[in-house]
Amino acid sequence: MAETTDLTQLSYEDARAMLKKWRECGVRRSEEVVEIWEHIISRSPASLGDEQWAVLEQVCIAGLDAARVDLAQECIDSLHAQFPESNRVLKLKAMQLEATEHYQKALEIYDRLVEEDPNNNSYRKRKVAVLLAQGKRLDAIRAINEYLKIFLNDPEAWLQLSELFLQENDVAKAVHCLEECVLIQPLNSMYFRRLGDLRYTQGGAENIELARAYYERALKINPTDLRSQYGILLSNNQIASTTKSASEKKKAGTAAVDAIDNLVNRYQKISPKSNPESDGILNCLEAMKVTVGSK
Amino acid sequence: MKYQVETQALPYSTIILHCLKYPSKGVFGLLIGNKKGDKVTVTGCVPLSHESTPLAPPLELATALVHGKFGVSLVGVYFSNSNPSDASLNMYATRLADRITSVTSSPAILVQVMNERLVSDCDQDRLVAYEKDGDSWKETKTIFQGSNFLRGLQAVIQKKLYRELADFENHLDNPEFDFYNTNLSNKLVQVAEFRT
Repeated sequence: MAETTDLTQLSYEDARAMLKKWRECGVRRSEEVVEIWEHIISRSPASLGDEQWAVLEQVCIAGLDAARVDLAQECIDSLHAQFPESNRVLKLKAMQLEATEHYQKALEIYDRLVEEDPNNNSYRKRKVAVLLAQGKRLDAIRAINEYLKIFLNDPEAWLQLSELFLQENDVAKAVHCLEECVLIQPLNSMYFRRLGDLRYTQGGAENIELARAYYERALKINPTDLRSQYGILLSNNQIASTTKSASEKKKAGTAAVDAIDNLVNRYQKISPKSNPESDGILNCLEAMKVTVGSK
Repeated sequence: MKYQVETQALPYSTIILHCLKYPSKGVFGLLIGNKKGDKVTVTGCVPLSHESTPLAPPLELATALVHGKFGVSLVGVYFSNSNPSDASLNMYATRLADRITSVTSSPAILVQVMNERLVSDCDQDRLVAYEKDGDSWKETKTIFQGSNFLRGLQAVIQKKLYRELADFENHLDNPEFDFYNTNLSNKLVQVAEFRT
């Protein structure tokens, strides 16, 4: 089911709760944030009490992302009136300069902010964002590497670096970045699954085996993860069709069939009303089971 | 130049909606259609991914599922870059197109969304098509009859229907999402009054 709720019809309290939720989990839903603000919250921002400043900051950033520089300016004006000396507001100002492609001016502000508060990593991250916006990929890689020398434990930065290496078609380096993420957060299934995807993409018997191990680990941490389940199917299928060892072949074949059974189980619970194509996928899976079983 | 590519109103709109749902990202998808002589008509599309560097496993899976459903009607790949001013060919898209070629044993076409033309007052074709010529991809002709259905598309965008679009990545996050977008397509035809 796609989300069809009309956000403009939310109650004030629901709208407030939704903005809070999005703010806390850091999800990027800029257009919707702007919509909720304009249709509901902006009617009476003062009712938010002290929360209004956090909301204004959120709406400001969303406005910049959704090409609503006018709205962002209003937010900055209100925030500036309340906190005239704030570096946090100054950062918003610099982000507005970024959004209007005044990159040099934005960088000057960030440099100043870094100097004043070297322990605040967000200003340094914005400097990387400026390079990315200008399409300077190699400079961005260099800047993130510098950043990671200081803030070694920042998985977001490692993920971004891994993405940039992928754009450079350097899967091996992308793998290294994800390994760092796993070291930082060893219970995050997403990092294991991603490592599985990367190893599978690299290809070759050894990498496929590693991919399978990573998918198994990811599924153990998060048993409902559909991607890992599919990963187990793909890697075992690959192993079953390439390995020379008869026992390995049998083991991988059985594991692939098990994975299909788990997937079939999952798809059978889906109502055709929300996903009219789930039956078709079920048929495809059943067909795969026949081919995998015959290997 | 071998092919001329015509993208019908429904897939054309779906591709644009995919871009609009993820304004800060690049998107990828598969094209469904038919080839008659030198003309490729794209009659449908299947949105796959909103990552600039989609990895092999989800693409392999989606290709297997879509090829299982549509067979030789799987004719190509569409994509857009994440950076608005970047009009270069994306290596991940050409690689996927090569894969489609080998899966269907028929040369796949590649369609790129020109991000800078995604503005309402633009009367140029937002899509550019490529075909493989030897080892490289060469631009080929598109047949564009935009002005008619772009009005319909405008209505669709105003209704924010792009929020209802699901791609294969969304489906993997939650299998209740239909990446063939059956219900959305029906709505698009209704709202935009596309002739089917």
